[in-house]
Amino acid sequence: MKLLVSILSSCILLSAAGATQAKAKPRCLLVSSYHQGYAWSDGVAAGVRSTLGEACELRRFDMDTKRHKDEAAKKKAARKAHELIENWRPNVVITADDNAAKYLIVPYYKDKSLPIVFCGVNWTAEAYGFPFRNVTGMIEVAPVKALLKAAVEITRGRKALYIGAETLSEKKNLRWTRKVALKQGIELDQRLVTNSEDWLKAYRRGQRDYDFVVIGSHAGIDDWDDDRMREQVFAESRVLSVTVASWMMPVTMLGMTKIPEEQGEWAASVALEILKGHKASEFPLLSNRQWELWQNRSLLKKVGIDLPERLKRKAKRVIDLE
Amino acid sequence: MLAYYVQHIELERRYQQRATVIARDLMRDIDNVEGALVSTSGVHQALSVLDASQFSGFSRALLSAYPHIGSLYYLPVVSDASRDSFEENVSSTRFQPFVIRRMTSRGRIEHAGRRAVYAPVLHVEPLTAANVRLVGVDLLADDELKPAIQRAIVSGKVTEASVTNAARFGGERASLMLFKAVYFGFFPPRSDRGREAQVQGIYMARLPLEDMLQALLLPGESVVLERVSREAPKQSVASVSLPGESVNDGWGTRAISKLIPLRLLGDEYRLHTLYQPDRPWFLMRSALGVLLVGTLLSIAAISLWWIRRRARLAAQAAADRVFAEKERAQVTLYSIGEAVITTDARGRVEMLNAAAERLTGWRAQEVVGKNIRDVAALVRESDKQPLPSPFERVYSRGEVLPETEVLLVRKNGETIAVTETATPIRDRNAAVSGAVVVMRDMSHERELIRHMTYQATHDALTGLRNRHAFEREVLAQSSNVLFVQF
Repeated sequence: MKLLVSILSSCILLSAAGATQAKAKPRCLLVSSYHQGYAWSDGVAAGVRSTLGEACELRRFDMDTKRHKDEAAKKKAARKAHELIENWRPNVVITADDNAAKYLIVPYYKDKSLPIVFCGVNWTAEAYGFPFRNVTGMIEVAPVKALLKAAVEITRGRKALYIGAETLSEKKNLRWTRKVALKQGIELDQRLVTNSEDWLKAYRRGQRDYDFVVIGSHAGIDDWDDDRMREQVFAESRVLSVTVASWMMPVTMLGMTKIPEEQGEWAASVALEILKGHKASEFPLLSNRQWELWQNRSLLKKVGIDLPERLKRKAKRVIDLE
Repeated sequence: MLAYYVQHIELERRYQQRATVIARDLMRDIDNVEGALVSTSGVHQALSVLDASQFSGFSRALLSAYPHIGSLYYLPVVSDASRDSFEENVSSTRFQPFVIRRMTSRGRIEHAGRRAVYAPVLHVEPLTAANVRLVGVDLLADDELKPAIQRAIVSGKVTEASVTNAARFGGERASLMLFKAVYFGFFPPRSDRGREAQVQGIYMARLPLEDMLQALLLPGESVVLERVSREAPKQSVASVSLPGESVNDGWGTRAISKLIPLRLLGDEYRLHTLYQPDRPWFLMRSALGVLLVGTLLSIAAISLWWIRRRARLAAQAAADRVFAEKERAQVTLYSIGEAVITTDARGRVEMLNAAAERLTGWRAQEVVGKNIRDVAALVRESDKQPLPSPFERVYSRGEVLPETEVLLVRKNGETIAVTETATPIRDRNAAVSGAVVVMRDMSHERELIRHMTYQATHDALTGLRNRHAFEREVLAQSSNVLFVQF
């Protein structure tokens, strides 16, 4: 009798487990290099969420390497992400931005069975050796070509200064900007700084000695004070400034910026194809192609620059601080 | 039955027109896309080369103008000699790394081996993951598409290939692939050989065939598109049906099918169209009809039954009342002391009560139906002459007879003094339909009068006449005597 009861119980438990398994959704993990509240990361995550919808159970892990920049912290965050992956066993992993690629994919998942889709890797994935057998994704390319073309068209000058933070990302951005500038016959100097005073000095020099200034990201300049810098820039601006970073628009006149949602949407749509049974290696890496046009009307008016009608009409984002 | 037949013929005639319209619209949609592809190739020819951003902008406009185009692809024709440099060039622009690949019949993508010529997908729009997966895939190596691509290159015209396993190309359902080649040089080459030598690339449009067909159908219709070729005479390409609400305003429930031969871009197709008048709706409508008629009939039957029942109950109540009245009357008649005899219009006895039985000596059952003259013969008391029966008198006079003292001849021949009166019974037209004769036995009264008279005129002790009687008699005799002194 006991035997019969135990057999029946086992059957019931097994069928219940089977039903649960049949209903279980595939698991998708988003590993973000930065943290929640950082606009770019949140934009990528929004794109991922909207595309995946209910197709899989989504978890997000933030490596928080924007606020914890030392090498040890980055490696520690990657180790935690790795542990989460090993414990939770997602069907596909989406990573956002360079640090996740550098500290998580390359050391732990090169040519492994876990499919990974990256996005937000700046300019090229060559440094990481992508694509791997199990890795594909979207490369983040800023519309530098169009931006420099517009700057030359507006200023009629080809001498420019690049001002950015002394960081790995900015060095990469500078390299690509220089490459594009060279093709367009633009003479591009650079100033990579570590504090806001140096940044302002470089900016003043740009106003004095150059036709236009290319503004890089301030991420990495610890004492950056938005209000103070905006006031200083407003007071000292004489020539056109351009940027590809939307968060630099308060101190820049014209911007052409990437859209984080595009990165997230693309990564998620490839993840969906992988969940259908396709291999990650079947998808070539590609670069983004959407961008937004910004104009800071206060600064433009102060300097007395009138944008071409074509750019005015295209500008969807307008900053007017007056 | 005849009405059903006529309706079905009408439905068939109408559906023949519908099938023709479906086929015509399908050909029109494909012709439109063909025109769009020709225009695209013309623009490309004029620009001599179309880069990724130009292709993207142009394609987006095209896809929004022609919603039947699911995706648009550009496949440059690359010789084996230039393969490596081509791959390197593309890799440095958009897709990293760009390598020419091939797709297996099961949809797997693998590295392409060396061939003389390749036609890899380079530009795609929309840029979906499923489409990007095709980037680099050499479609000239695909057995399903290769013949149509080669025909497009050699002929310079738009050619087509139907793909049943569209999932390989990122589609959900069957697709029709249209191809149009573009050539180097401002003017397209005129000979087949020239076209083959100068081909630059191929535009490919993927048309989601089943979605196109579905857009043409009305509820209740279905179509099957078959490709007719020597290798596969009846290869089904797409099958679409659109169930739903009925558009049938007739009563036919039999499926109607039509076969329309089609020629799509030089290839033979057949369009099987089928129209199924909505049976559930037909049945439901019939059931509703039956239910409605049944309900009405039931209501009518119940109403009729109820009316008849009410009438029967009313008649029953009336009969009961009449019976009760009659019973009451009969009991009353039987209970009263007077003899009552009723007759019909011919003077035949219908009823006599107990008093009448006692008075006449006849039992009711003996005399019912007999003439009253034989039952209650009357004679005048003074001369014993027979009198006409009360009925005859009532019938002749038509009014109530006053009470009259007569002698009744009983069954045993005895006579008895009675007072009799008679009343006519009238029907609703006031005609006399009978009579009620009432008689009262007067023998007791007569005896009482006689006894009182005797006592008044005789001495109780001697039985002789008393003084009063004597004086009266003397007075009666003395009409001739002047005076008598005692």
